Amino acid sequence: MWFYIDPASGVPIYLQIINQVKKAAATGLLKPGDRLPSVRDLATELTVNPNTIAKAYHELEREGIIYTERGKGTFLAPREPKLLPEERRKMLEKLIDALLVEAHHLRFTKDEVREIINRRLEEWFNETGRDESD
Amino acid sequence: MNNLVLLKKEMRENRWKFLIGLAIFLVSNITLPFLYDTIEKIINRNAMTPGMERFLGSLNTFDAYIWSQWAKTMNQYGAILAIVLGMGAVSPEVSSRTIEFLLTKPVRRSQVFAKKIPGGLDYPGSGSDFFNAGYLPGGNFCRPRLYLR
Amino acid sequence: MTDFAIETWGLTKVFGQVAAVKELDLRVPKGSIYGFLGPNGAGKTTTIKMLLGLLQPTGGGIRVLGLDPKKESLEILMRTGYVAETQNMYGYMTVKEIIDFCKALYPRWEDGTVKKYLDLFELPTGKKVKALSKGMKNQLALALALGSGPDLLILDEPTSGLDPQKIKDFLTVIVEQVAETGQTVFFSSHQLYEVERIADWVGMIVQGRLVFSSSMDDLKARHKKIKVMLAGESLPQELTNRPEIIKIELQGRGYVLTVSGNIDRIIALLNSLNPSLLEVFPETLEEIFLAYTEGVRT
Repeated sequence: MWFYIDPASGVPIYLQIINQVKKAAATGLLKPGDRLPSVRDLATELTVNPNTIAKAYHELEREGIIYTERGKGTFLAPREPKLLPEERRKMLEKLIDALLVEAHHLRFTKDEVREIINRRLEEWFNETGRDESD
Repeated sequence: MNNLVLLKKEMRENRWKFLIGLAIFLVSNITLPFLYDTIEKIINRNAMTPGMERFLGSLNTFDAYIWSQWAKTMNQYGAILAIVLGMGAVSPEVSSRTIEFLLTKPVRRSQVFAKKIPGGLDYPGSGSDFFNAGYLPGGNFCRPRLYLR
Repeated sequence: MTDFAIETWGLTKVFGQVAAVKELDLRVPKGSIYGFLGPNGAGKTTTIKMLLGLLQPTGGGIRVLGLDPKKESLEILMRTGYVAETQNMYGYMTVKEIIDFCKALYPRWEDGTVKKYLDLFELPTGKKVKALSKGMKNQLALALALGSGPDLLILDEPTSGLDPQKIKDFLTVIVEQVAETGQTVFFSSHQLYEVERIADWVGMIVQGRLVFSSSMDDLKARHKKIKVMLAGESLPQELTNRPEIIKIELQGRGYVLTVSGNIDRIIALLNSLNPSLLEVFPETLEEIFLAYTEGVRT
């Protein structure tokens, strides 16, 4: 299993699961249509409260990253998220805002932030073998 | 259903008490008929002692002897045994803390303690009651003839 | 029907002159796994004993599964599985005998559940209870509690003294049960690692008082550790006196603040002091626990 939970990290467990599913999807470890473990199986596997897993799945489903078919299971959604472009944009902006707040606390200047983001952007697309047309 | 398991548990925990009680009653009661002749002799020998005639009355028949002595055993030994053996009916469960196990089960408290009464108190008595009852209707017929006057 | 499996209000228990539990307002949502935290002697076991009707409260009220332990304790006990900290089962009985004993007392007994866990834990049915190890006794107690088909499971320090493998098995069984049956689990513990894993609700009691009670995610979102370094100044009074700051540590030239609630406001206040360093970290349950047990110290 590619899920790993660190209860001692201080990060809420449902967020750790959300992040790991997102990461697995982004890096291609999980492909669209791949089946995710059931709430019960994952809860037992990780020894984590089933409500916590359900919460993570619910959140992922709301974001259109996974979908549930009654009686069949939970699957990774196709790359085209069900969310409207407007909504997707807002979500990304929220994350960028959080990043900017942190950058401000860490006392980075505007130019430094821009430079780091550009560099990581290039590195990430090279590492995962994706490009803009994908 | 649940009454039964509780009673079974009490009987099992108090098995040794029951046995001791029963043994004491058995010894005292089995020896009763055999002592009849001896006691009669002793009393006859001291027949001139003032007040002895009251006892002679109870020795007139074997039946009267058994009845009176049996009642004496029940009252005296029975009361002492009931107190001594019954004292420990609740406290062992409290001190070993198994009472907590029992009280967190869906059992009425009145039931828990009610089942301790036959378990701790009545048991030795009622067991030998039953045993002694056999002497009574038999009366003279059961009288052992081992000692001849 | 209420949405809470356990609800108390103003619950108080006084032993002689000492109040073991003070004005406790506890709410355990149905279907949750509620971790009841607190240092030793904080009043956890006293609270649990009052929930089960083993102790009479001095004041306040209790509802367990919507029922009053004073009047309806039989009904509560019928629907509640309880595993004590130390198992005081009849040692002279064999495993099978004690199962039969319990089976006769519960109307909804599930033989299949008991067998499943006896097999999983590899408990020998012919062995006498007194011959079992502490871990095995705990496992037996859990199997018995689950066998009664309870709506609520109350566990008092269920894993204390168990080895890591047994703890893992124990927690897995609880998680599996909750996933399958949706029953509520209320368990006291000071094994913070396990609470952090399996509890979705958490409450903490210190010296008989509830210091917090919330969902685990809210608790984590509300509690942060802030590392701040000010240029040669100490923290101003108006900051140290704020109730949100529950712990202040001096580390070298910087401060580490444990903050509960109003995180953004505190950060803004600190930023206005023009700090040379300001970092925000998530808090683990252990750190939150320690912050409350140690109180505000510098």
